[in-house]
Amino acid sequence: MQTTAAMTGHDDQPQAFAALLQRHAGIVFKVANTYARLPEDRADLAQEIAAQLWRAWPKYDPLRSASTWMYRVALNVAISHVREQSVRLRHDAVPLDEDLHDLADAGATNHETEDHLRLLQAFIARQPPLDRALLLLYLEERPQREIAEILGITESNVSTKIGRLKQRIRDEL
Amino acid sequence: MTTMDTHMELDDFKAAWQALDARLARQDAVQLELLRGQKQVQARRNLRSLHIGMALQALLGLGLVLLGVGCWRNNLDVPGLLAAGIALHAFGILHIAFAGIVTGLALNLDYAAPVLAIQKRLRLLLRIQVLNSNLCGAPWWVMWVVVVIGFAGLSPVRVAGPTPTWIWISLAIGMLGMVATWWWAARGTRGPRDPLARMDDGADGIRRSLRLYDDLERFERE
Repeated sequence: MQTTAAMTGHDDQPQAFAALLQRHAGIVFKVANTYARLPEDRADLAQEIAAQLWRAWPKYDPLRSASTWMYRVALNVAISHVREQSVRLRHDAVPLDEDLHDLADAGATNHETEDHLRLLQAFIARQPPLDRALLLLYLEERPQREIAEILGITESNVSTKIGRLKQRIRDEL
Repeated sequence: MTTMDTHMELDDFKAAWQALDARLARQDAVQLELLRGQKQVQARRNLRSLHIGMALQALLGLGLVLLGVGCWRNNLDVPGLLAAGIALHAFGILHIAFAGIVTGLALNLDYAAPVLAIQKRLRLLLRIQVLNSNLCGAPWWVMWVVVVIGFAGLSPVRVAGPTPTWIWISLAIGMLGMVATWWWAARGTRGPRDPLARMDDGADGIRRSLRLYDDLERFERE
């Protein structure tokens, strides 16, 4: 039985990888958007994630969850990216409204959603990198078991941390 | 920014998150093409810079070992040259060892491992890199003089008389420079509230990295 991507035919690998990337591209862009605020930085981070996914691809086990694998790689790259960023790109140096404008699609959403989105972006930007990962996975409605598997902590720990995150939102917003 | 009248709950944000999701999805199609074109190039580039750096360090180490061995074997009866040869030999081994450790750790980084595990591994890599720059980089303030002595020690012709003054002066200046470099490096690893650590503009990579790793420890603890 085939257990890793490397065991599929050599010629099929780029196509299989491209198909997987296409199916789960949302993960790459959401993680990039959560960890990088400037458009060019987001694009750089998304490319870096895709590059690491390609490097990790030969060891990918198709029997295991593709989303868990992609979240792990993407979050690891994104957290390392935050560490390597220059002071110019620190999230607190970017005006939020200007940044949001880049993603905004006038008329596509109502005022309340827009307000929520601004508050959410501001809250995310204030969180340390690992809490940001937890927040992202929670908002993505990933099961606690999968969040635990992605982050490398226990399920009960995930539950405690989510409780604290909820409390922080109540206190801050 | 608009302020909200009531307290927000985390679940209230899920609708907003879905809206963001939809916007990102509209951009995905264009950006996906960008990802496909560059991914392989970038993976190779990231690896190449690390490999080149560590390969050069290992080559330099090999050169130092050869010079050191040549010097001490040639001068078993001249204490100064014997000491210089042994120092070069040891310094060369240090270069090779650190190049091997950093390369090994970096090559074995599996980004598909759980986030906390890989971030701990990166913390270890960062600490070894800091140690590498302090033990293999800063001593060059002094070691360039020892390299000159090492080359002199290879010559079959012995220069009579005491050690030239310029060597003592260079060694003294080098020692001061090395200690100052170590002090500056240690300052960078202090906490962000330390007055010495605030002397630069906040862009110090190592200090910011260590601050992030404090977050890692806090996340594990809580």
